[in-house]
Amino acid sequence: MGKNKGKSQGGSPSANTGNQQSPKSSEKPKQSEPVAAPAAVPDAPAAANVEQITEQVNNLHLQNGEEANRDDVMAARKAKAAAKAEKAAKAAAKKEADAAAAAAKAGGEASTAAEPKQNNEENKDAERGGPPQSEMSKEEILAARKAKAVQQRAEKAAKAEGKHKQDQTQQLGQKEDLQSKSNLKQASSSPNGNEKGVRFVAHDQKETRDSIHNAFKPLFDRCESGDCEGPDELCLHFMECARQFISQFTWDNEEQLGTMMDDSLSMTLKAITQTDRYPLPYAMGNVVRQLRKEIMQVGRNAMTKRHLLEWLDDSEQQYFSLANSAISQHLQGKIAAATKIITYDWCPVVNHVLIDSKTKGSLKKLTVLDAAKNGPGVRHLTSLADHMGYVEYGDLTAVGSIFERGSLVLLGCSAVLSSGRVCLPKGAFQLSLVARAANVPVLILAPTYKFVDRAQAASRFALLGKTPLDILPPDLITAIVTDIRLLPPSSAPAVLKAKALDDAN
Amino acid sequence: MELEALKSNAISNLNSLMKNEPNISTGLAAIKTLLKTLEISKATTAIELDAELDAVVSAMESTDHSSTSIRSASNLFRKFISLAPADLIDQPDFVNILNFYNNRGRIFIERVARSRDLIGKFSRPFFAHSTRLLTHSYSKVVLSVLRKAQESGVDLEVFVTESQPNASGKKMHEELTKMGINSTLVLDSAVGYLMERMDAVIVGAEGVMETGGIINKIGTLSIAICAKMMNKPVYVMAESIKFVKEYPLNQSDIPEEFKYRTSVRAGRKDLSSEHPEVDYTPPSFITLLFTDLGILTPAAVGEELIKLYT
Repeated sequence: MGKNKGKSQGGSPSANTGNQQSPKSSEKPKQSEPVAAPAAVPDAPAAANVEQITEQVNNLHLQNGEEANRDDVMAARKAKAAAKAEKAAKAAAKKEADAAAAAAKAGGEASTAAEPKQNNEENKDAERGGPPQSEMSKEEILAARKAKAVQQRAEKAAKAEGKHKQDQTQQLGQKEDLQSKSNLKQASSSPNGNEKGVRFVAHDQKETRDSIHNAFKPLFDRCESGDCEGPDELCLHFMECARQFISQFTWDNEEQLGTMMDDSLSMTLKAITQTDRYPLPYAMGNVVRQLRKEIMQVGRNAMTKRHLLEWLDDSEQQYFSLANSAISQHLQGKIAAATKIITYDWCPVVNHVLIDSKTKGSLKKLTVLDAAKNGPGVRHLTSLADHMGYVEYGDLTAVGSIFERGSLVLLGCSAVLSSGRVCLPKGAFQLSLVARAANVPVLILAPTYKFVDRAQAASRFALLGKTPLDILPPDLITAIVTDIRLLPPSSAPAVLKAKALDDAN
Repeated sequence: MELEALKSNAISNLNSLMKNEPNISTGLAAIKTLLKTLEISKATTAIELDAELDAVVSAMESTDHSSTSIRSASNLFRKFISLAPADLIDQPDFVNILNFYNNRGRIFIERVARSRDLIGKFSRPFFAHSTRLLTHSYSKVVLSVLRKAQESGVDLEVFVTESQPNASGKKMHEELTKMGINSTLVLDSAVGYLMERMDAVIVGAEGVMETGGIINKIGTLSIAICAKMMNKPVYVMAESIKFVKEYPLNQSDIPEEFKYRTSVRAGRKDLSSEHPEVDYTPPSFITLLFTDLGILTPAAVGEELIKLYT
């Protein structure tokens, strides 16, 4: 803007031929100030009405000569076309679904009269005290386009959701319809073209929550409130919810119980992952996959709900307490030989190992780092307060001065990929790089259920969408400590095979 | 009491094997001793048998032979023989099971005895006429590989490091010369000077670790680092009975019993004034491992070990 202003002050408006749009936008207000008789728009935005602005625009056309006039007419035509397209889209939406109709109505107000469309829009902008009028013609086009896109997206979602809902009601007997309400909310924000107002995720949450089985709602709410620290807690909570889900679930036909349970669970998962748009966190994906395999057995092979609950208890013990103590056992010798242990962020497995080795007397010195002070790593400090008198704590800026001879880095992870890469909390990459430079071994603590048969990582996960992750390449990792034993990262595929976690299973 | 007799028997057995058959590997001698224990065993339960075998292994580890090789070979041997079908295990008469173990043991030893030939066969295409090789210390596998290449008509030029403090390289040099291979004895400190004119480095190993790295005579690491800097391949010749379930993170993480001979360790707490006998070469410095299982990258070793031990 500033640049253009300087330019327009010196040169005549007609000289701008190369880039017509942007200089035009700045030259108009300059001209309009002396010309527009009824109150200047920016000064009294609330008082401006359609007539005034139309008049103003007309005056502008007269005063500025052909060049500006042509521009405005072009812009108006474009806007008209866009408005028409928008109207057509909305009409289509009307036919499509009842829910979408409300949205079309709300949004349609803007386009009821095709003729004064431009003025109408400008009026709105004037009310907002926004940028000068002639700029709006371009912005308006964009807004219209965005509105159209949003409209279409909403239609799709409404359709899918409607179908989903239908299934859900059939199977679970749930009858709640907040659909039209949320659509209304979305549509009312769409004509403004404000991208933030129409965020798909934001709008979808209520619906998502409704499609989730009651047993899993606490998990969803916890994640929504940002109370869940990582995949370990998530998995544990999921298993707890699954226990509720299984014990609550009833079905007349004993033989079909497993199938119905799986259907219902898959419906919930679909809602959580927004139909696979965001995958489940990898470790949790493993748990879910194995649970579903077991669920499908219910009703067959004399497998009952009680077996399933027992299976859940067993796996919880295996994945968490047993795996943790096995990992700790593998590490005792290494920790005893190290002069100092360095860890980053929070991980329950690391915490277990630290407490265990402190009680066994092998842990001498400990440094905990966080991305920023008072981060999740503080949990290590509070949990070790009873065991250790002194723990070093700092943020990532301290990374240069923490390594000494005989140090050892222990890191928790959220997943180990089949390529040997490891998903870690953000910032662990820096720590590992510095550790490599200081010749300090980096050990990744990973129970085998965190191994996944994927080579690439998704950037966002369902439930943990906000958790940022680093992906550590295998050459920065000295060893992965699993409940089987210490392994090089290159052995990840062998672990998947040995534990039947690969895609073939 | 009986166990004590078993122990002293085992030690004398191992020593005589190593003395009378100069080409036998420590690992093979160890499992032959174990088989002998199986043959004369009068155990009536699996637990008794386990106790006997445990005693024999610890006795063998108390000798001055490479405890890395003894441990790896014994573990793999015991793992292999105990892979019995379920219906056999359920049999009340332990003699049947013992017989089964004996047979499995013999099969295993046959397989192990063949491994050097296999390694020779696998590595043969890697040597061409007047290939220049640098080797370190005395290694029976390397010797047999070079002999095989020589027999098939390839003229090699071999440079052997002295390998102090016990000058085992001298012995290697003598053996090579006896075979008619063009061999040169060089100083340990001349490795950097010589590396640029070598085609490859070829070494044996006392033990192959889960990392894919090796534990070998001290000095191997310096040679491997030097080779890596000058882009020369490092080939390791090792039988699969040398695979050890151990994961060293760095030099200070090598188990004490691997670093010092038993006679050195006996009754001493402070070993800081002793020279370590071995060093650990991490997998990043190793190009390929030639084993009886085939030619492996260091990464493949971990996978083989998972297959063996899960």
